[in-house]
Amino acid sequence: NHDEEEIPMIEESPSGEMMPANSDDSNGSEDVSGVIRVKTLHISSPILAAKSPFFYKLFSNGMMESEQRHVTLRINASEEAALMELLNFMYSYTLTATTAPALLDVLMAADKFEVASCMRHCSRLLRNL
Amino acid sequence: MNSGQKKRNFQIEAFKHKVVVDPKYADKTWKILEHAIHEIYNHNASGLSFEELYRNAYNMVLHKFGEKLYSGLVSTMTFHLQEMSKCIEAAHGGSFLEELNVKWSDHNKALQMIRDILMYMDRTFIPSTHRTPVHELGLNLWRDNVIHSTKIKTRLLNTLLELILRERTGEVINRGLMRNIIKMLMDLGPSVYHDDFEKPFLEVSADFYSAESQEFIECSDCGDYLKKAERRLNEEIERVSHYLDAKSEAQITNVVEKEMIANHMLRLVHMENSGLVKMLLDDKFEDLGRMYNLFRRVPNGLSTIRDVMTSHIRDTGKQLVTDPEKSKNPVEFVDCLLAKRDKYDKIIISAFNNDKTFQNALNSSFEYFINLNPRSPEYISLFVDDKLRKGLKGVKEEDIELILDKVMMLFRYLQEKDVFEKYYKQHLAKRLLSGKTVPDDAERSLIVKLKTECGYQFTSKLEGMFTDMKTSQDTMQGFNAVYGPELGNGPTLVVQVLTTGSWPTQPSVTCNLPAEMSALCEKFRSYYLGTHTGRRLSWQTNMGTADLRATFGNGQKYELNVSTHQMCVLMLFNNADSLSYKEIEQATEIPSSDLKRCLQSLACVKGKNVLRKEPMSKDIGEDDAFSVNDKFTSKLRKVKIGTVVAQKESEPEKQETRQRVEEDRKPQIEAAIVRIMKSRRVLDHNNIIAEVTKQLQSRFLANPGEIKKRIESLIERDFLERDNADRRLYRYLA
Repeated sequence: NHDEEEIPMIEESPSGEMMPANSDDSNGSEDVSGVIRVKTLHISSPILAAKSPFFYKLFSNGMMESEQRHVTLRINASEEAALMELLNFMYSYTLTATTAPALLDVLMAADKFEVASCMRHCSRLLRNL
Repeated sequence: MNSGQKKRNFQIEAFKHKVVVDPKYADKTWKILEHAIHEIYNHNASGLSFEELYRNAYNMVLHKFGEKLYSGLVSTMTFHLQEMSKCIEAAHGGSFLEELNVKWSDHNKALQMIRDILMYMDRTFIPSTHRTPVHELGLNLWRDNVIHSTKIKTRLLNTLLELILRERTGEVINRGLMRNIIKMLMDLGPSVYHDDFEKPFLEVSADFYSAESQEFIECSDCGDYLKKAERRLNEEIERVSHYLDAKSEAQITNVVEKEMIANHMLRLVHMENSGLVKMLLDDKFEDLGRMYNLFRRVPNGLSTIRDVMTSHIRDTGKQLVTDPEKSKNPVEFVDCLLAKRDKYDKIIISAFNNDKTFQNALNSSFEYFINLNPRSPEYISLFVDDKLRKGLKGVKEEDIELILDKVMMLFRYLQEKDVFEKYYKQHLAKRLLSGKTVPDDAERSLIVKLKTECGYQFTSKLEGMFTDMKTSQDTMQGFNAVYGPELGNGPTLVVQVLTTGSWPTQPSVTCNLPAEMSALCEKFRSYYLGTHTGRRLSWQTNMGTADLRATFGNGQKYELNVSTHQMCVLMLFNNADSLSYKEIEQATEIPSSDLKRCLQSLACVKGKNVLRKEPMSKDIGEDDAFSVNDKFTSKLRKVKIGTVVAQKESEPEKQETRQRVEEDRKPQIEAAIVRIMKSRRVLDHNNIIAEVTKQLQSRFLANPGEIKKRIESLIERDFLERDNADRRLYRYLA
């Protein structure tokens, strides 16, 4: 009953390029040039799936990741802190960020992965600042 | 809000996300997604990265390329659906639906995955730009490119209708496939299901059932036809449950009902030798139930059945009550009525769902024909009499109640309840005075029922009769205590003192009693008047009974139970061997009709003929001579010699009773008029008639002519007056 999975987070260079320039291969796998670092996290897929439709589909919709024990999430370096906060929130319902910019970043991340509870939480915190 | 106290710091920082600089960014990203959509339609989705595709779609929307993404999606999907459409069109014959089904399922799976990767667009871009959501878009494109493609649309409809026709003619079809295809049409929206399938389906079905019902009705009888119709109806309901939209059930059943039932209703009901009347005659509960359940589905269906049933009951009922053969035996007559009532009761309960309107029709039909025979009240009372006299021996209490309840039911139908009361009183009197132990509980139970039905007034005299019986018992005890020792071995007298008015006594001539009896009677008279001053006693010898001990010529001894009149006749033979009719009449002074009956029962009934008549014949003539029948034998020591009572009344008696009923009605009508006028003060003629009729309904149906006569009589006696201005108005005079 071990639902833990590993998610390596590949961070891209904050060079302003969203995509690696030469991703012309057709099978969809992305060029790893520009990758700054890879971070591996252990997460519980049911918890993430319950909180986020994105993760739910990621683990189940029949594409590549549904069969993988190691799922890769590729983000911008600038998104890292916010994503860590978001993942943390999904387990604990708490955030460490307190400043408006940091909360805005978390809100962006929550919106991207459709974590509605976190979006509401951030909005509330931002309103009450 | 006094937020002035709180200090808030707002810091605005530059947006951290980098603005896209690569001008080819959008095209490149769309190419990845387009490729993915192709792969998904080609069943290669498991090689795609959801994360990557979601991220790309997210980024496109985030960077204002939602429009490009959406239009790209539309054209890519359209391309695939057109490809699919070609494959489906190319499918041969039976594989057409299969191919359509496979492609539909493929498209659905693909659509689901495309929707997953475009989730962010679905959630943000589409609502804000009022586009059609991805899923709905996928269905609409399928509808427009596949289902409505010219080469598929009609072929699809024809295939579906053809399969249903084949199923209707007994073939087995692939219902699972049908269900999937119909489900697809339903998924595409109610209008697609309705326009592309349901409407033509209903039209074709109407034609089919119109033709089939025509064919059935020509070659089957009513019962078989209904069976077929019921089966068809169930088949259609089952078809809907298996593979059509549940909402179609009402419509397709409507078609079957209209074509198979409504259009042939009258012909079915009136079918000779198998229609409704025949089913009623033969107690075909199952067929009747089927007819009821089918006909209730169509407008006027039940009223059609009800009308035919009503007129059938009325006709047969009329035949029954006017049949002179049936009228000969009142018990049989009532038995027939009860049997008929039971029969229809059972039909209504078991076949007609115990429908209230049918019960009402049954009741009104009975009310109609029972009152066609003016003797019905008499016969019903005679029936009760018969049951209470002998029929109830060894019958359980519940069964007695059951019979009494049935009698009450017939009683309710009577319009002339007062006539029933008259006869009931006569019959009850005979029962009470016969000295036989009548089932008291049953008697009282019926009185209670009558009281509940018609009120205290109706039964007060009947109850008075029971009281008289009880009082008489006490009186006799007192009499015997005083005179018992003195009388010794002489004849015993039992007297019932009947209150005038409570009992149906007739001012009859007292016959000559034998000397020993009349002495005894005188003793009782002085005893009774001694204790009750101011009363008058008159002897009703026509109502009494006597027990005689007789010794016949051959030494045989019997105890004879006879009427008082018979006793008087027999006692004459203690002093004479042979007497002529005239002599007997002179000696007893019994009225001739009674005497004839009494002699008839003594001389002409086989086994009870204690007298012998010259000449031997059935009827009593004025010149006949009588002597004791020395050869009389009987197996029993006690012989009950009943009077040959014409059980029912003879014609003159009937007239007499009728007359008395009419007489009794007069004061009741007058009382009703006065009651009404007292409260209304002024009323016109028609209203008085209506109100009086209504008030008296529970007892009898008042004749308007008679009411008019009573009004006139009341005017003469200054209870009412006519209005001077309007002669049709009456005024109450206090």
